Amino acid sequence: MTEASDSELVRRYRNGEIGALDSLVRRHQKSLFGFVMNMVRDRSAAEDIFQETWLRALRGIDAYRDSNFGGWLVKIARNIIIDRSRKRQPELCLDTEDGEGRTRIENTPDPAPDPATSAEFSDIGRMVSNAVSKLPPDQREVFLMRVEAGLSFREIAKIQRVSINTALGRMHYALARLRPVLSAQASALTGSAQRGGQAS
Amino acid sequence: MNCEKARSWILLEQSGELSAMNSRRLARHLAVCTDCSRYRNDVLRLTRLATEHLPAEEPSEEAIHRILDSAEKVRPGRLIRYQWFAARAVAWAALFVAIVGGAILLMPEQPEKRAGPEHNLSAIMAVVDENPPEEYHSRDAASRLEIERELGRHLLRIEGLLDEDLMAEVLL
Repeated sequence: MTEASDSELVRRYRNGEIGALDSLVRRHQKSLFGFVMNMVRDRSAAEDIFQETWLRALRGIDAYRDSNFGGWLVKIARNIIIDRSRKRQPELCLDTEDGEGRTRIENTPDPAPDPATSAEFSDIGRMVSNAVSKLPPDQREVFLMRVEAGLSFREIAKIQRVSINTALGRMHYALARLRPVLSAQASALTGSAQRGGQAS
Repeated sequence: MNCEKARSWILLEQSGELSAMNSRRLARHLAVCTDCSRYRNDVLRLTRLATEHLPAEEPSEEAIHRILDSAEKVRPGRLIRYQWFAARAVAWAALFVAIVGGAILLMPEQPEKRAGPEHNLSAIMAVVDENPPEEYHSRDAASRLEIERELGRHLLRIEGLLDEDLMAEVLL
């Protein structure tokens, strides 16, 4: 039996079938949560944004036309992330000192995952994750929309309200910044091969 | 094809957005350009690495249940859609009533309809009946003048009957 398409599930949900929504949430949970998680790098915030994304999607389900449902969700999530960062930004002055004479930027937690999470990743995984987290927001967004959410460049350009060439340019820059990871991976692979050779 | 274009096409090819014809043109370029060929390999390796190594976490079951619970409250369902249609119908009806009511209120008032010539003519005939020619001639000058004035007033009220011949006939 073929799986129902997103549009079909949306139609069923519109007709009151909650089970269709369950299928939709589970189908898109990995890509959507992956995108949000890698954008905000905080599990609790990511869960909040994930839930809010779905609630906004459900409230505006009549506005959904037969486009890519995953792309529509990512667009909503992106707007929520921007709203949240705007709410935080006005009071944020990175040079303002706290009572102990440290600036906000010094107090800002390292975007790297916490040690418990890091332990689950290999060195190369941590390296990729850190490199992605250090990309400028626009480039990180394009990279994650493409790699995590699997959106096309046409959809990414539409979401970011830029031309497709700008979206492609941002991806080029992101890949250029991530390239050193490849060299590190190559060294790691060479090192482990040498260690393997010495052991035998 | 220049290398800049080729690199954009490499990304588009990977996302499945490059036409078959352009894919063939790209392949021809890659066959002769080692830089672009290396770039393509790097792109593929990087995206594979990211896919494999970026935190592939999933939301908690609790978060999913909260979404499904909330969905019960906001679910569109048929009832809500009918309510929406009903609300639209009411809005259209209200708009229609407002337009028609406004048009009636803004319409200039019609002048009161004046008594028609038939009415005035019967009043004249009543005066004539009350004063037949023999009685009219037997009256004194003042009474005759009063009768003439009354008939004249009635005649003046009749548009189009201010005809001398007709007046004379009535007066006689």
